[in-house]
Amino acid sequence: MSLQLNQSANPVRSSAPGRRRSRVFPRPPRLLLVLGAVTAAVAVIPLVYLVVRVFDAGWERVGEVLWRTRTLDTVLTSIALVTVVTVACLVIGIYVAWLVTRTTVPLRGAWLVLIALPLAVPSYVAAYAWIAQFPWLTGFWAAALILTLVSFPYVALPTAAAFRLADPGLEEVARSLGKSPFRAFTSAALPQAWPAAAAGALLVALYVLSDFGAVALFRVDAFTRVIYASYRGSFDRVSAAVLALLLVLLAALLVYAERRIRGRGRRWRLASGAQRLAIPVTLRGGRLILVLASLVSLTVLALGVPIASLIDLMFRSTNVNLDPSRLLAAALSSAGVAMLGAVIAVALALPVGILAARYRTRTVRGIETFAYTGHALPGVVVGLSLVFFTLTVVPFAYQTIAALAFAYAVLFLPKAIGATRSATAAVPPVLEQTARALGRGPIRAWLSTTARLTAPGVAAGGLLVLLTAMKELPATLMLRPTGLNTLATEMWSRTEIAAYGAAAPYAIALIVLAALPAWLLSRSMGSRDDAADNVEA
Amino acid sequence: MTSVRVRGLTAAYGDIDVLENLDLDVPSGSLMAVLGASGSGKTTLLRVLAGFLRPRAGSVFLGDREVAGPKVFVPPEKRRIGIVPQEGALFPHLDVQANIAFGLRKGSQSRDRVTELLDLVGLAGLGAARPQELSGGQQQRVALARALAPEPDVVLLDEPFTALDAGLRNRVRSEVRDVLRAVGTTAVLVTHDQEEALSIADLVAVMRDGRLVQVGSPAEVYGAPADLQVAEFVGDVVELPVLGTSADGRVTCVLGDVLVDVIAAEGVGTNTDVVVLRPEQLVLACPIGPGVTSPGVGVVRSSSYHGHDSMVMVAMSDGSVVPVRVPGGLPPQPGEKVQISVTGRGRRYH
Repeated sequence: MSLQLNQSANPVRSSAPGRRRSRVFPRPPRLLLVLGAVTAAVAVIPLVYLVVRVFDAGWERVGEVLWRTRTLDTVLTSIALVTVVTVACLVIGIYVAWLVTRTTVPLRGAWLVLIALPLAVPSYVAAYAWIAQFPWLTGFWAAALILTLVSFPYVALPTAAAFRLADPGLEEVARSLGKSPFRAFTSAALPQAWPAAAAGALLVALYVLSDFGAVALFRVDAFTRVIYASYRGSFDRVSAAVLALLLVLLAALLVYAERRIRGRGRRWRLASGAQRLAIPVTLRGGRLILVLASLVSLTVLALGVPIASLIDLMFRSTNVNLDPSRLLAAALSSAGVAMLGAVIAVALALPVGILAARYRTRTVRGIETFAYTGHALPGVVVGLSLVFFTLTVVPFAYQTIAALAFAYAVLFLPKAIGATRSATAAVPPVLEQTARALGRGPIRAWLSTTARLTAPGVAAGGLLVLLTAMKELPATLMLRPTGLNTLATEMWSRTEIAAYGAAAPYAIALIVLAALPAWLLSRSMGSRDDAADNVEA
Repeated sequence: MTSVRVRGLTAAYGDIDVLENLDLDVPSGSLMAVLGASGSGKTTLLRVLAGFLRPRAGSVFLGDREVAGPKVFVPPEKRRIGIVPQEGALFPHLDVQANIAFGLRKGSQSRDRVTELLDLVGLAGLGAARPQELSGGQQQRVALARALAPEPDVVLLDEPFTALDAGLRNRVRSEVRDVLRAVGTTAVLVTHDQEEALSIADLVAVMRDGRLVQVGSPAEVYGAPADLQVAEFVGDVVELPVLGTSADGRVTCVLGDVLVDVIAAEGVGTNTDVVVLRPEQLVLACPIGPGVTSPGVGVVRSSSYHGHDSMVMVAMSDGSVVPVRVPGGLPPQPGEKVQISVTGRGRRYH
């Protein structure tokens, strides 16, 4: 440094917090609010209609269904399954996340992809792949095992991201204050990742509660299977509706808890924190072998067995008559209905996503909450409610492609809203304001700036809806028009009659479809600099 | 009371040696600032002292205890050190008192100690606050209290004030110094801010490229820098080429004859031969008569006004431009003729 004057007190210093406080969100445009309200109203149709049906039946009938021992059994079975799988996913997820972010385990990048991939295996495909090889697998523990294997990434991925963002200084401070490495981890590092892990665990719980395929194949009398059975078998609509409402209550509780924890996690992060990564724990010798063995066996169970099983079934099924045109037809109708659902979802999501990104008023938050209803609605519930709704309110739509696409749109609307919202939030509003200042009206200004820049993000959201909808099983089973077969229903009808070989091509097609979003997810989480690059020399 | 002694220390990340054969002594009870630009190895030194990095060679003693050496490596939790990291690194999931009590055994004694420390750092009554409710300066003081709670032998501070904005920084800095003095703990502070190092420390160690280039009191380091780079690093300098020498220990430069201490440059920059002065050693006189042409006369080219002082750029007869700091008042205007005179001794580096 050669000559330079001392910088005295910085005059603009105190203005930053003031600016933040005085930042008032502009009032949302009325058109956007109306459209958003329409979306919110549409999204709650299945839930509202379910409630209407339950109350129509009268208290006496409802009470009768509620006090059956079978109902209590169902509730307990579901809660037990949810608890076992969630705890197992927490343990496995945190352990794996720690390994891939905080240790010198070889091929960290590859492991990160491998632990994301089980998300690509729909639970009913995994269950079918295991049953086909090990037909004696059945019951509660089999379902718990399979559901754990397909859903532990919900914990592992966000926890790994949290470990990476966590301030390693905290662990060092804990060490300097006399804690052993393990105690420093549990008292300083783990609490930083805990909100992410807990939010992930609640997603697992929600997934298990809503899952239909695995519990149905392993014959576990959890909510979804009982609801489906009473709808199919006895056409006992009231008891199906009451159970469905009970299921929604439990799911809503989980969603609420997840929101709370996630919000707290945000508050927990102090604004500061040194921008460097922790020095990883060195693994050598016996410990390294144990760790690698655990990762390999997890991968074999979660990916290796299902994939090997499907390939094996595929080869064995060549003598069974595989009809390529039927596979193609199923794929096309899957894609067609799912595409229609995705288009509806994106159209409904646009106003809500824009409102949520740009105008955080109380009304907007209300609209957003209602529009997210689908997040807490298991597919079996939406299917059941829309069967009632189409039969009584719009009979011409009963068992039509429109009703099915509508179910997809409501179920996966949250994905489309999330994508629209984050894409919009990433575009500075000043661009749109500049376009306005240059003489364009509000809609033309939006079209020429924000819309163009957010289009890829919104389209990705639509694609995510499309791919997820193609895998949806119970709603499709209940709502599809007679004669319409999708990949999921074709596979399902074959496993129901134990034609395992014939189901294999459909299962493989489903995995390939589902692998796309999982791959995208792991890619967005996987970008990681080498720890050594960030250590300040 | 514990001194810190480092002998022949070499440390590396991967294959890159960051510290090479470094010796350092921090006397018991003193506050030493390790001053260096980023990449100089100062943070690495701190991490070795704390035990987060195993040195490749050399030893570290805390008092008589060898904590790192050819056959010894004491892990951080057994070293009896306290660290105050950049930006505090408070535990966000614990309130202030739980943060301070983190290194203490649970019990009523721990509670008394927390109260005592809250008083010491001037945060009495804030024990139940969450870290995110505190200002940056308060967070930093909690971090200090947390480090001091288990009565460590040595406190290590890693750029603890850089995250604070300018006005707050000065205040928190002197508060932290006062607390450390009051406790009497040996402390090592790492910083890249020369003003911070000079104002807070008993001793300043200047680091460059993994070596210590000068260790001394703040006055020594500022007043008698070991080489030109240190002179430039620890403060503002005016560098003037040497035009001639006289036998009585004076050299001639564009400002006339200046009394100098001579320092031979080591190795690098053999072509340089300069007189180095601090801007506050220059005094401006004006106006002067139009006929005067003694050495040190020049014409004001520009001046910038800063309130408490002004910086005046003076163009000399040989075309060089000399910056002069003028306290208070209105500075001379461009075009005015001024005379620069030198007070005190300069230093000649060649």
